[in-house]
Amino acid sequence: MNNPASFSIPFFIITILLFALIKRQNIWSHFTFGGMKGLKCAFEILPSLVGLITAIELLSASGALNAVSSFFAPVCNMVGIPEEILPLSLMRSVSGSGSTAVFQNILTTYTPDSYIGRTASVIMGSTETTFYTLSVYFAATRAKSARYCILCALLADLTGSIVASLLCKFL
Amino acid sequence: MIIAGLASIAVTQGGDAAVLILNNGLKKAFELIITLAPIMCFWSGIMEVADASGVTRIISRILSPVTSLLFGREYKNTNAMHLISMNMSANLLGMGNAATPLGLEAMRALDKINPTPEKASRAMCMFIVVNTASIQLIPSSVIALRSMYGSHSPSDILIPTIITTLCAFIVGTASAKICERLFP
Repeated sequence: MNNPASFSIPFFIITILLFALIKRQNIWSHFTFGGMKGLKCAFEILPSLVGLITAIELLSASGALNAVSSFFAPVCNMVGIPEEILPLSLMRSVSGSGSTAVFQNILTTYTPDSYIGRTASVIMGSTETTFYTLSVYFAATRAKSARYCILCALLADLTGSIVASLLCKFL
Repeated sequence: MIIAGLASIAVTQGGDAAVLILNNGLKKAFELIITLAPIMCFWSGIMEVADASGVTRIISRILSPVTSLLFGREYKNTNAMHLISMNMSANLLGMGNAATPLGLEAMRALDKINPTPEKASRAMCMFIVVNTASIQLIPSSVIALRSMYGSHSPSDILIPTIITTLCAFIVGTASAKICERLFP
């Protein structure tokens, strides 16, 4: 593994533990106490998670995305997002495994070094599965309405797709 | 969403398909929580140790110029802000596994100090926008996939990815700031 990111986790944990040793804290009791809190939290969010994930799964399987995709194609051509990328940018916001499948499909059809392949890679690397993050994070709260949050997150995703399409033309 | 999704699948692909997809969704949620629970347990434990030894306070202080710009000063030195700082540094370092449990804890901390629990607070919205924009420095999984599919220079996309992430991040957070004013 020559990936620098793979060192960050061990480094992070070791630093924290060393600090605790220097400050003479009781590491084990803190660790188990915190662990119990985390575990409780995980199971408390289970019911809302089940509902939300199921809803997202249904949405991505229902083919609604394909309909939306063909509807938006002309608009996206105007702002510079190629048609071939569109299913990916839409899927990316909804499902992690779904967008990985679409991404792999693009890589085999267009090869990774083509314009389409590079644009797709940049989109995959620079955006997050928005609806998934939204539902998991809101599952932890009592909030019923997400207010403007979805709008802003989708705006960020759209920016990502446009910037990626433009940048890859020149770089 | 569930009604519309189920209805359209039942019409276009038949009732069996609808039930199959429903079960699939349930399975996914269950798998997610099963994988998430031990990770959350571990990182909450580490977080508690970090709290006790003062590491979180140091990280919060390093990130405080950014966080006070995003969230305003009222959250400074709260437990929620410590958790947010930890989540952001985990994201930056590309530790997605650690970022999620820290982010969930941060959301719960924000929920506790939310004066209107029914409505998401400003800080919650900002925090989620920050997380969906995923400020990640090295997209390792994308690079791995690219080389698997025979790319000649898999890490070519590194710089455009960072620029794109930054643009998305700026647009997301700026629009959240504007929305804070528009819909108080």
